[in-house]
Parts: sequence; structure tokens; C-alpha cells
Amino acid sequence: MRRAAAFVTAAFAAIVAFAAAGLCVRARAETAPGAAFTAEEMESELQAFLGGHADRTSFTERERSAAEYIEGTLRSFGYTDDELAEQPFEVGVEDTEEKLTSQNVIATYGRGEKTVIIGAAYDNLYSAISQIGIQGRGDEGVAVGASGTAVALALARAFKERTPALDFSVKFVFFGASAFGSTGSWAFVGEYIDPEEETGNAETIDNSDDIGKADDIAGADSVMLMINVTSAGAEKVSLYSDETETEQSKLFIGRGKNYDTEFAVLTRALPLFPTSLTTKLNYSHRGLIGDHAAFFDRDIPIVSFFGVDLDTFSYYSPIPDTLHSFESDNPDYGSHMADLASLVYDVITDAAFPAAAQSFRTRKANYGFFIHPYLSFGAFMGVAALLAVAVFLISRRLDSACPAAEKEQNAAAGGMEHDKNSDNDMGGTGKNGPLSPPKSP
Amino acid sequence: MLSAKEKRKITVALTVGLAISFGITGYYSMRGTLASYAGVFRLNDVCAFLLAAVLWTLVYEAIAAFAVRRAPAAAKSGIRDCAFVLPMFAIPANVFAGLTKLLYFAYPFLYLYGEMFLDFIYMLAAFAGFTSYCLRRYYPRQSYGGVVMYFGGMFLGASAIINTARFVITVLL
Repeated sequence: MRRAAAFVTAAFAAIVAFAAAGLCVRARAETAPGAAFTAEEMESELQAFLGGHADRTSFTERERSAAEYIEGTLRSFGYTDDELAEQPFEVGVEDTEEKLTSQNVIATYGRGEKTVIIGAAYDNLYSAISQIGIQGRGDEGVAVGASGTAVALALARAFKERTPALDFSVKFVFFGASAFGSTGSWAFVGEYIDPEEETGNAETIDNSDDIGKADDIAGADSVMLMINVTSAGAEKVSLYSDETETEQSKLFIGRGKNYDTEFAVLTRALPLFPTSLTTKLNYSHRGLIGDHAAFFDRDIPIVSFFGVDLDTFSYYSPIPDTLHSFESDNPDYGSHMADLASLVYDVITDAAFPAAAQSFRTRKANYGFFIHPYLSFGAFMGVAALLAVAVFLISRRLDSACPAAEKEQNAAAGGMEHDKNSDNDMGGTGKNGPLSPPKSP
Repeated sequence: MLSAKEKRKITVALTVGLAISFGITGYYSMRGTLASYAGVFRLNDVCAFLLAAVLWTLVYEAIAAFAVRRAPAAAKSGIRDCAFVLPMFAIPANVFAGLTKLLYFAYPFLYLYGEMFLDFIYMLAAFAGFTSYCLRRYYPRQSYGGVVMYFGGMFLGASAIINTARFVITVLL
């Protein structure tokens, strides 16, 4: 008995240790950062964006106005018509002919067969969208939305000003209608990366008359990495890249040690929602909510930065997301946003990045077996069926071990000897004593 | 010999223990369900534990009551005593399953198979012990075949229904 108890204790100690080891992330310090973004630059970028665009409600003229602001800002950085594109898309309103329209704004730096995508969502749900029954939150979407947009804009400017020599292109994608099921990112993936596949609920619109169309991407395999700046500004930035540790997360976290801002892998202790946001997983969690999910769905390596406290965000209760709350929660938000922008810039422009990017796909844990709901259910039913057969056979064997004559004899005698045993014996007065193993029949 | 009052006290204690054990094993799954309703539940983790405890205890009691009522002649004689001792086997099974589910915190992708198999495997082991105990203690030898068939059928049937319902709700709907 003691041995069994020791074995069980050791087994569960091993499980706890195994789980703890899985939560720990190895990281190593890398070379010192080269690019410097200033806190003032980031703060002014954010303030300028929010200035006239506190309300950027998805599918509205206010969202369109914010898109035009982003496009104008990119032009002011020096992006030309050839390097800029607007991708309009629409979503049908259920049971009506009505369509809701939104748009992604895209800027491309450099040329090359391979591409790195830097994305951020610029819309919010400040006001109601009556056509689809969504209530306005009155939140400006600063922590989630505007802060990421400001970082992406700062990066777009840095690339244009510093003109790093790269043998791949960098696409800055500002996603519209992100607050409504990341619609913009699914539309982008559908049109630019994987036109053969479904694009969620978004339909792309021919945009030949618009401001231009940045060159298409040659399939999902040509995307080296998708970096999504979901939110920025907090002193701790969580990073999600996959359900297991990835090469890209190790790279970013290793480099991140050079900054005051703390970069860490997103906790895996987040609650799992019993709904699926991608076809790759049959569950979801807060780390999968964002525009990176559409890319993750196409097996594109991703890194998504969450600069908010995700252990409480969207879990116990929604937190207010206004400029006032953002500034009071993150007094040094400018420097933390600058750290994030510097980290992204340094990693991408590092001469070793293209080689490192190859490992993002090749050195990746394959947990595909564990996420097939039909396979697991089939396996369970198979095991249950085998056990049912086993129960049947055991039952038959027990029946045959007790000859009919004995059965009749016992039946005649009432077979009541066993009935004398009841749980009333548990008090210690029964013949077998309290929970003691009874005699073998 | 236990008086009726003492037996009732033990039953209450076992039911409370069973509820706590269901809270342990059902906590992880329930916290995800509650988190889907952001802002509705405060103290989500506490609510998840309590809801899992109450919900699964109700399911257990419903199945147990059904099993007692529908017992065939071979299993009828000792079925109430068996129902009385079943929590003593189910509680450790639930606790061990809940402890094993700590793995989810490090490897969330184990969740699917874990929810399908962990409770089932631990409860299967407990049920095997429970059946063996009950056979020796409460039933004559000539009833063994029928009792094994009934207990095994009830366990496998209940497990199949619960997992099918889970599959339909989380995958098909």
C-alpha cells in the first residue's frame, strides 16, 4: 500500500514538474539593439492618430476617415502610389441585402520574393453598429488598437527614413473591421495570400479604381513572418506565436532582454474558450484573438504582441480602454512603445534574420495529432466499444463459472447470505469489518 | 451497525466530497466556458470551480438515481448499498484526473484528448475497483455475470453519452 501511495505521489509530482517545465521559456540575451525610437515620437504618433479619430467604429465613415489619415501619414513618410494600396471589402448583413464596407490600408517597403508583414488594427467599437446589432462601447480602443497602429506607423516611417537594405519586402497592413471578428485580416489573407481559400465572412471588392495595389504576395510560403502589434505601451508585453514554444518567440524574447520593457511568452494559463477561431485549433483563447489568427490559420509563422494585462483582460471583466485609462495605467507608455518598435525593427533588419526565419517553419512542434476532434472522438468510441465487448465476455465467463445447478441451489436457499452484508456493516459490526476486503467467493 | 442518521451523515459528507472532486476535475473546462462570457462573471475561477462542482454532481446524482431505479433483478439486491459506496471510488478518481489536468496549463493542446479520456480512464479504474468490491460484498456468486454486465453497461453508456454531448456541443454546434 505504501509503495502504491509513493508511486502515485511520484507520478503526480512528475506531472506537476513536467507542467512547470513547459511553462518556463528558455531565452538568451542577444546583441545590443541598433535602432532607437524615442518615447516622444511614439507619444506624438499616438496622440496625432487619436486626435480626430477617437471614434473609428468599424464599417463607418469615421473608420474610413481614420483609414484616410493613415494613408495620408504614410504618404507623408514618402510612400508612393506604387507602394500604397487600399483594400476595400464588405460584409453582408444577415437576412438583408445590405452590405457593410471597410478597408485595409497597405504600405510596402522594398521588394523581394519573401515578405514580412507587420500588422495592426486601427478601428474600434466606439459607437453602435445598428445593422448588425452591436452596441457601442464608448471606448477609444487605445490599449488595443491605437497603440499598435502608432507603433506600426512609427515602424513604417523608420523603414522609409533609414532605408535598410533587405532582400525581402516589408508590408505594413492596417486592418479595418478588426473589432468585428478580425474581418480585415481574413480579407487580406484571402485576397493577397491565399485567394483559393475561404476568407471568413468578408468579400473582397475590386479596387482597381482605388489608390493603387501593392504587389501581391506569392502564396503563404513566401511570408517569412507576420508580426501583429495588437497592443503596446505596457511595461510587460506578452508574445503569442503558437501553442508551443517557437523559434520566433525565442528570437524576440532573447532580443527583448536588451530593453527595459519586459517581453515574455503569453501565459498558457489563459482559459480556453470552447469555440474555434481558426481551423488549426478546436478551442481558442485570448492569445488567438487578433488579426494574426487569419495568418496562423494558413500556417504562416506569427508573432503577436499583447501589451495589456491579459490575465484580467476579457476574463473577469472588460477593462475601460480610453486614452485617460491608458495613460494612467501606463505612465511610461511612450518608452514601452518605443522599445517594442525598436525590437521589431532590430530583429527584422538583422542580417541574420532571413536565415533565422527559415527555422520558423522547419523547427516547429507538430501537435497536429492532438487537435483533431473527430479523431479523438473516434478513438474514444473505439475504446468504449472494445470495453463493451470485454464487459460482455467477462460477464459470460462469470456466468459460465457458476453452474446452473449452483445457481438454482443458491436461488432455492434464497442466496441471501450476501444480502446480510450491507453498508450498515461499515460501522465495524459486520462480519467483514469496516471496508475490509471480504472473503473471495 | 450504522443507524439511519449516521448513514445520512456519511451520505452528505460523501456528496460534499464528491462535489469538491468534481470541482477539481471540471474546473479547467468550466473556466474557459465562463471566460467566453466576458464581464458576466466576477471571480471567474471561483465560479468555475463551484459551477463545475454543482453541475457534475447533479449529473452524477441523476445517473446514479437512474441506475438504482432501472437495476435488473440480478443487480437489484445490493444496488442501494453500491450507490452508497460509489463516491468513495469516484472521489479519488476525480481528484487524480484533476491533478493530471494541470498539464493543460503548460500544454493546452492536450485539452481535447484530455477531456475525452482523462476522466474516463481514471473513472474506469475506479469503477473496476468499485465493481469488484460490490460483487464480493453485496452479491451472490451466481449474480456476478449480470451485475458486471449492468455496471459495465451503465458506466460505458453514461461515458459515451457525456462525451457525445460534449463533442456535439463543442465541435458540431
